[in-house]
Amino acid sequence: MTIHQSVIAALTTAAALWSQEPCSDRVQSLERQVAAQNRVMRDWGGLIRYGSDDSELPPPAAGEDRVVFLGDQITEFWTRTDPNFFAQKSRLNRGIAGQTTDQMLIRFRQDVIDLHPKAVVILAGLNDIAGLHGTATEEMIVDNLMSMSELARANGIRVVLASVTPVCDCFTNGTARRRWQERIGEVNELIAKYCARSGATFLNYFRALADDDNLKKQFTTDGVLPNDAGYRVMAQLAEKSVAEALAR
Amino acid sequence: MQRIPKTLLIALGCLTAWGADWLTDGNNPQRTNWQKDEKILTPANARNMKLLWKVKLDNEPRQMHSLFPPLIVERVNTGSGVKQIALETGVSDNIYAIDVETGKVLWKKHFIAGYTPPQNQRGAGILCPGGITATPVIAPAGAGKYSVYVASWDGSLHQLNLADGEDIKPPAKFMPPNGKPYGLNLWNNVIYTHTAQGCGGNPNMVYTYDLATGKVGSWGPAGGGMWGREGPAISSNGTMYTGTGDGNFNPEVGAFGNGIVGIKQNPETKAAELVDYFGPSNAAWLWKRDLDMQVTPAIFNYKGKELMIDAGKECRLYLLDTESIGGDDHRTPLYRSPLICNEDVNFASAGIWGSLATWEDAKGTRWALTPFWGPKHSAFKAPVEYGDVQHGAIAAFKVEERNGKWQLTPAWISRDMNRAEPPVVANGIVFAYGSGEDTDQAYPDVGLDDVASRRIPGSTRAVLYALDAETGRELWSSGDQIASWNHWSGLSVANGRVYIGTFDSILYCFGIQKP
Repeated sequence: MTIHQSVIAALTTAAALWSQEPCSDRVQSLERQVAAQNRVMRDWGGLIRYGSDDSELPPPAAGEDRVVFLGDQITEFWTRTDPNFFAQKSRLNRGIAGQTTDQMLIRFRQDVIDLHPKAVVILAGLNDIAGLHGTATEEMIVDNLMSMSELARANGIRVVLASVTPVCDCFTNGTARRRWQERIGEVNELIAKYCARSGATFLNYFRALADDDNLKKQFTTDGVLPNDAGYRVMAQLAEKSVAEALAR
Repeated sequence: MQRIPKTLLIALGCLTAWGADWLTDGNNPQRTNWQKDEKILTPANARNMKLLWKVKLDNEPRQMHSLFPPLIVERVNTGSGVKQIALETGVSDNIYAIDVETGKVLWKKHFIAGYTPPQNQRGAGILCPGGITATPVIAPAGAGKYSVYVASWDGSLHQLNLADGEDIKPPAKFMPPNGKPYGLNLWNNVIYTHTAQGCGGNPNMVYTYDLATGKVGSWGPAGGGMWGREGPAISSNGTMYTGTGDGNFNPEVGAFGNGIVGIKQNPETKAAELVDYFGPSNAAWLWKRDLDMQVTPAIFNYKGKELMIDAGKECRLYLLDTESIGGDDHRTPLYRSPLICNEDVNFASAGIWGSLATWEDAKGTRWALTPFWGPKHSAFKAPVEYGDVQHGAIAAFKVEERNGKWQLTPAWISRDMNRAEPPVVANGIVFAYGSGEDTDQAYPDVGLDDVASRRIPGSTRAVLYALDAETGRELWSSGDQIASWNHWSGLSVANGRVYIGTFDSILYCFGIQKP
């Protein structure tokens, strides 16, 4: 083989490798996505996440004000940021990242009712608005929230319904989240109205975290998830709303 | 007194110390699945293992059941001399004695039950195949003589002479017909077993048979069948332990589902009595998700304690002290492992099934081994692993006491095996196999449809593996030499031979070819 031929062969091989590597990465990425989707489909309600833990929890002691926080990633990651908020009092974090309200409704009995709390704080709807599992109208979202509330009340559990938290495009040049903002406002309006007529406590995180429609940059690291400061604001509001609900 | 030459004494000692038997499921009443007496197979020569023989038996499979693990006796006095015999049990009420040197059937016994299962009773599905469902147990009865105890389909206990298959005593009533007993165990002249699945309309019970008096004792956990594949394990004080299947765990109302129970025969009344029990802290979850504690425990001594390991479909190992298996509250084990597999909470094709194994190496390290089905849990790691595990594997742990606390420390995870089945440890080798069975019970198009007509065509072939017991490294595999699969069976190992039976009623014998 001449030097000329060797160079051509090496270039050809490199080109082939260069074109194959991104392709195999892409296949692996797709396989991971399919596996993740399959897992969600096999356990749509997310009953596995807390099912075993729930069964190990003893009934509340006499005088114990157990409160369950039900929600999505904003609730789930709260413990990471501020574990003391849940550890200090009888508060149980039952958030599952990526869940929509219909999924929470499925696990409401296992993760809320069967734990016999005095109150439940429901923070949900953002993933529905984002269309994570397909299109969901504002009415569909609130239907699910109302169903959870009615299940709670039928079991003697006080309901605190939180507003959907604000979002912003403050860390990107895009405008994707701006499209969610109008819908967040509509859902929050429906939640507030339902609370007013049903006697549930409305927990308005939105007002405290937003500047107009935008999540204030000082309360977030990515435009969706609260940071330490954001969770501190939420903690104060949640504590106040739970106290109100328990006093009713 | 006449003096016996020293060399003769040494020779006799060697002779008696040489042979290995496998007289009961799991090789001993403790169900350790440790063949301590194996001397021929070694990690160094395991790679030379070959198929020594295979024999097709005339046993008719029932549902997915066919052959049970053979029992092995190294020296049996027969009419044609001393023979090493494998006693093979076929589900269709068949017992075969096989000469292990040749693979030839020496005698066969077929029990004629005279029993017809009534219509409309649970008794015609995979879970209730009918026929013999319990591996028999063999007891020495004098030099070179052995008694075989078998529970036949009609609920009778038979006592046969291993040499020729003849009845030693007339069959005796042991339990109702058409039930589903599991691996018989023998301790202090009492036969123990337990039943499950409510087969034949019978309640799920522990049964004891007192060989001296013929008295039967029974006890039931009120929900939760006991379906540890190798039957109960028995501790040094004669308590038999077994896991319980799906059911409520509420001792206040006498319900012991999804737990572990300890039963002992009352030596005076001969009644079977509950003496201890354990309920996992998440027993309610196990019940809700059909994650039975259905594994035969293994019992062993270590550091002055008698310990027990057990597991279930949830895919955790429990380490317990037989002094009090759940502590004062009956819910506190010595140690509870993290989840090893079954991240998706699959009740049919994942988790720990069958039985466990435990052994002690020359350095005094005590090992605990579990098979599991399905993918390894993403959060479970061992220092030594052999690639992605998707269909099942063997996980090995070291039993350790650190600062007064007991634990099972992960040591290695084997290569992927298609539905890894209970392992056997022999002379530094772990023998394990993937059964190749289609274990799915539910399907997207029809939901739950646990029928043999679906699962048999989906089953493939069993593959036997020899692994280095200290590292899990693969030393040898049977490759495609085994043509069929098996369900609810197991391995037996003795005297350089490893036995495995398959659905097509073929018994395979692998070992080292004699020069």
